[in-house]
Amino acid sequence: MLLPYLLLGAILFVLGLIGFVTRRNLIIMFLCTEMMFQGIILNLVAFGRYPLKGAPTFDGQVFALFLIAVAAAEAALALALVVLLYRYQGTLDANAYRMLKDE
Amino acid sequence: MPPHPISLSALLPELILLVAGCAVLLLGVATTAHRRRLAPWVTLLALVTAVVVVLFEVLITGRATRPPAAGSGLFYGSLATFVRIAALELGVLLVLVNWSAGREEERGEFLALLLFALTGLLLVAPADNLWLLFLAVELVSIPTYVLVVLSRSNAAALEAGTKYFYLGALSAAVFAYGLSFLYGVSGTASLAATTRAVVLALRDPNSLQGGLAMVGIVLSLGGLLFKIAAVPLHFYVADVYQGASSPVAGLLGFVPKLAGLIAIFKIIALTGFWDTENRAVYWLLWLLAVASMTVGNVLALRQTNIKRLLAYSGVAHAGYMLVGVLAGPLAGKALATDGVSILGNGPAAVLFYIVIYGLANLGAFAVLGLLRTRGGPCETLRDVAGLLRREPGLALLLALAMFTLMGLPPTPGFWGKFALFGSALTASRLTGDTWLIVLVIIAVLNSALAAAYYLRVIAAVLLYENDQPAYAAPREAQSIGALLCGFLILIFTFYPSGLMRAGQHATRELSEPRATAARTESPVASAVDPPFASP
Repeated sequence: MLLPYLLLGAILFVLGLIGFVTRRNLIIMFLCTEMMFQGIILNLVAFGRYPLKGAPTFDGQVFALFLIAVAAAEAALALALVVLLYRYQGTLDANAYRMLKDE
Repeated sequence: MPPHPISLSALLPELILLVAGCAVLLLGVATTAHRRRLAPWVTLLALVTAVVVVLFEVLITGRATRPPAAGSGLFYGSLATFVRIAALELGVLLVLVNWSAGREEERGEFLALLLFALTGLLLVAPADNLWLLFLAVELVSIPTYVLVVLSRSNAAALEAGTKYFYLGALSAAVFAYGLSFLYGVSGTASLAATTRAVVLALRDPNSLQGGLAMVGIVLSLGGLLFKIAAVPLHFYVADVYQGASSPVAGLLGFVPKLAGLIAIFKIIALTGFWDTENRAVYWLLWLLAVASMTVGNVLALRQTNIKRLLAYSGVAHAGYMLVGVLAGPLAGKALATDGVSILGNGPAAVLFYIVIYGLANLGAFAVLGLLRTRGGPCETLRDVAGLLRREPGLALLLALAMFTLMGLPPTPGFWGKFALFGSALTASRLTGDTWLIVLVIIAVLNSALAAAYYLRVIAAVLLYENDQPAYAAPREAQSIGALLCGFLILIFTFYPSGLMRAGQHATRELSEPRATAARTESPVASAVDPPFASP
């Protein structure tokens, strides 16, 4: 029963990664990292419920809760940054922000 | 046996920083200006108190290691003590150098975040549990993203902070994904139990567990490479250093890098790499070390902006440190029967090197942060040209920092490289592995290449003429911070053995990692009833 969950977690993670690399809107890019975190959380809960050996433990579920908290902290930071950036340039296109680069 | 919790007094330095961080946050919103001006003093006081507490523990009570706390997830050994002392003392310098960083009305947040990041750094070393390791690394990372944004009130700092944050969030996800597989292989989060399970799984790479363990190791190392700015996650570093204010760029060279390196030690120790010669992990680290050194130095050669130059040189330094990680503590164990030889103890050399690198990098950025030219901050080679005539003290300090980064013989940068490359050569002699010698040759060639751009900065500062030279802003605290950096570099020039011995002592628990296994045996979960019936 473990493998379907791992597969779904991997699909979520890879979809998030592809979205992060290909999309240029800063909010969508952040949501893609959130999707990667959801894949990880699914992975952890699946490993906690169906361990490869031994009895199931709560460790995976505990980390899933902590990860949700970390993801929420990152979401707060991301939205603050997005608001500030929008005030400066009026766009959320990542390509519009190229002030810093090699000469 | 129920797990007995770790006593709160063991966490006293971390608690002091945490409480002081909250106090500083409150001072930042005080209505009167003179109360707001107290914030840096409170920060400094907290760091000094924490240093005194740690030194008291080590010197007076003579107990560097705490009694074992099974299942608490924290293990206070010699590595934790080393990281505490190094982080807190550099923390004092960081506060001095960042004394008036950020906007006037934002100083409370800025210093509170600095304290929170240092708290995270103190927790990385004792973390004895996969989850605590992740949370400690994140506690270092998230405040540093904000510090970059707050360091200057302009669009460049905001852009730098955003880039740093987005890539940081991505790397955190990759790191956590790797940890989830390692947890899956072991079924528990305790590092000692995970080590046994991962070593066992890696013996059979074709099994499901072996595959999952390998994926977990590669992903978690990949996520951590971002923290030490090694190839292939190095491309953000120059933009971030350029956009952040100089003192914060100096912080980025030490706090996230030390956290990342300690976490890398822990992840590599999980594979039993230093005991069992895991070839896949070996080649991964070998290639990353070569790529980081070469790419960092080649990119740095082209820069005229000193902040970008130092950023890319930081990538190269991450590569040198990976040489020491690769050499491992094994050779040191065989050689150092007298207990003083550092040649052959890779991680000890890495710990020595990261402290020296952090000091020299902070010193260089502190000088840059003090200098003004035509009313703006001083950043390019042209800006610092002719500094010797106008500000001889700062010019010599910048030159000293550059010579240390370059690794010129009497400076501690040389001792650090000597120890790093020496440990790799010793390891190759003991194991008969010629590829380590190739690695050292590449590293030495890279050091010579790096001299080219460091010398360009030194020549601009000491030799060139400039009709409008940069001048120093009148800031006492930053001047004191910069001077202390130079002073410490000079101390380690003449007395490197003290720090080396401390590093060697700190890595003892890495070379005999499973002496702690019996103590940290019972994870929290095994003490309670299994939550589910076995499927």
